[in-house]
Amino acid sequence: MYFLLLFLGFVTRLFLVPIPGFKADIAFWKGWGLAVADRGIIWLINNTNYNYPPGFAYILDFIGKTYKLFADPYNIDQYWMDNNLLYLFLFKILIILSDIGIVFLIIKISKKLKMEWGWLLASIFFLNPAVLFDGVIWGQVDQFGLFLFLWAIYFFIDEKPKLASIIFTIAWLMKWQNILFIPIFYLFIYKKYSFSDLIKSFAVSLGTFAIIIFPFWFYREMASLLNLFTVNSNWFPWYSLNAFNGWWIASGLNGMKISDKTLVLGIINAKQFGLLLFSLFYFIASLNIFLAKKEESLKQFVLSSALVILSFFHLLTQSHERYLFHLLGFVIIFYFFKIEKKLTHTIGLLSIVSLGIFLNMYVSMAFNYPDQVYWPFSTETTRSLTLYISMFQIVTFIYIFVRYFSSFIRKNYLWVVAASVVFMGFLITKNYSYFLGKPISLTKITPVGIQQDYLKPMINMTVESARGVKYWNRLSNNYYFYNQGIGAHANSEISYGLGKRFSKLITDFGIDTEAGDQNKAVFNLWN
Amino acid sequence: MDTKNKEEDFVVEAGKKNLITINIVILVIFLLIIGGVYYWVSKTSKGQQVFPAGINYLSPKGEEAKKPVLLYDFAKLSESSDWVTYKGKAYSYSFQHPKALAPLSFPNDKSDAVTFKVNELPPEQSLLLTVEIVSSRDKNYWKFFSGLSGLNKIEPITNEKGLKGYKAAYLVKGSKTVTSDNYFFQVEGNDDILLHIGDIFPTEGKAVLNRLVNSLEYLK
Repeated sequence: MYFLLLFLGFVTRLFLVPIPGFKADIAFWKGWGLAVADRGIIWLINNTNYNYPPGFAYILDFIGKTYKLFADPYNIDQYWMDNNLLYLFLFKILIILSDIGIVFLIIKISKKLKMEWGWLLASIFFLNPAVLFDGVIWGQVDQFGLFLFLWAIYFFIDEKPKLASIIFTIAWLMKWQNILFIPIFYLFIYKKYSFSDLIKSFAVSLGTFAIIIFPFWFYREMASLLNLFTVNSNWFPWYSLNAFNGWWIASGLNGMKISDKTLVLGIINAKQFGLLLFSLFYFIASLNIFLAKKEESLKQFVLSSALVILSFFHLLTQSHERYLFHLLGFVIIFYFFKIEKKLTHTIGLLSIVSLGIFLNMYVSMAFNYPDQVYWPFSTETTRSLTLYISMFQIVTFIYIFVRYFSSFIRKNYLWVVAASVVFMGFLITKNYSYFLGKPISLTKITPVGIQQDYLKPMINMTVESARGVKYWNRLSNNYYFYNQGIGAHANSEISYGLGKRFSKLITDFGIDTEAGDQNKAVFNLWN
Repeated sequence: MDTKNKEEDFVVEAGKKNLITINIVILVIFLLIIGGVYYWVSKTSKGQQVFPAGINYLSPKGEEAKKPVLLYDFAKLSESSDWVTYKGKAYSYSFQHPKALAPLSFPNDKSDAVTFKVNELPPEQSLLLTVEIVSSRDKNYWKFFSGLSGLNKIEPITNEKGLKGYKAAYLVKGSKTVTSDNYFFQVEGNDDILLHIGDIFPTEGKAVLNRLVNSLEYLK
């Protein structure tokens, strides 16, 4: 029976392969894959807009080289067509294999924990519309990340923390979202095993990391790798990247229109506020592992991982529509770890979570590629509907948090109160001068927009300082030095989203000493 | 006893062989079906070229493949609140467009055409909106143009302002490609004219076009 269901899921996937899906993503895979196959990983990272982890580049490399065996990728009328069946097949077959890998792990985990219904829950996962839509229809690779993460959990059940660490390191070098789990992953190893095991796990992780990033340290290109690790922090600086969450509602149902550098609480912008909230919830997730009994710690690690992924999607700005995907696997293993004891409740929760994720992705696809989905509503009506989808997902988040964390918080309320006090303290400290009506330096506020012809505006330093440490210099005008200010170069336009919080601007401006006294610039202020 | 065991082994062996044969036959049929579907899809589907946005890679020399240059950040334009109204000069149509796109129209143009410079073609070869005089065209619109060989698909549409019409795409003569979408809107009270919008935008500008089409109005 279950074999039949899994076979049905497999056949369905094969038939869905020809769908072009999210065309922009597939076009990126093609471009990056061709670059890494032709020029290598370092060239890819230094010369293109590649912003995925280095491990994923090897996958694209493999696909690019395999494609070359069967067809000519330089045939522009074939390779770049959105219905390029060979490319779609080569890419999506890996997604299908990841799905199969997750199914296999779900069954293995259930057997290892001596729990029933592994086959049933694996079949539900395999036929889940949200899983099908994210992977074989859209063409995204969230299943890679989930597959590897579940594999690491399987090794933990098998009491093999070092193997788990190797797989986990590959996981976050394959899909960025897994980076989120790094602190709680090693905290769990420390809690469940020992400090010695923690050090050993670190060592094997470091070894795995060194092997995967071999070309970077071998060719002395570690700076490129560092840049790759940080480049995403402001790639899309918006409230929400079609993730239907609280930020989407706060943006007026147009999350990619409002900069997350807009001030939301005193002089704290949306991004900072989201980060603080996320930190608070991450602390609760960490505490849940730290205070757990040794024998319960893996169960609590799974539960905390679910909280981390929920907080990541709901509390941070710049969240994508797909970022809850891991939850589709976590909720299933809730049952095996007895986090959720009733099978019907597990399936019910999985259905609710899946519905939210599916609708979020489906509507997002309708916004971007209306030809890829059937959607009978106009753009404006759809935008209104996103309010209800957002509310649905927020309620699901609150439900999960209350259901699985309320008793923990009741038992350990002093810790949570202390964390909340630190959270509030940070908000107040950051806004101290603002609340007292004192002047606030613009250097303390992040601009919502910057356009500059040469280098970038520098805070409390000359514009040349942007070239590197050896060019660092203080701001000055004819050798009169300023402790604070912005070093910019014409033409430069710097915009702030102050939200009508201020009534007066006092400023001084001039040509920096290092530019010489022959230069001229015009300084304008617009409101 | 030995003979009996040998007979049983022979029967089991034969059963295994049959099972393997059946499995191979099923697998071959399955692969033929999937392969057939893929062959059919590859022969019948008409796609479009989609290039990756931003700084990316197309070929080792950068010569074989020529990627169209994106002149605007269309994602931002489609979401922008900074849209303004364009009004026809000879006919009373109007639509909304991003302020960043400057409308280009032509003096003494009977078709009251307007366009934007959003691709590499000269504006006069890439018109966004024209007022078509029905009586001056063939009943089958595509027949009027030598480069087209037939209708690919057509579907009725109604935009957000209530204008009714059709969205059509045509087959390009001598190739497997399909034209971008063409929108034809009827004007109530004047059967002889159609408002024709062509998709002049690159793939990344689809959302801009959708919003623009939905804002099209005709005042009596």
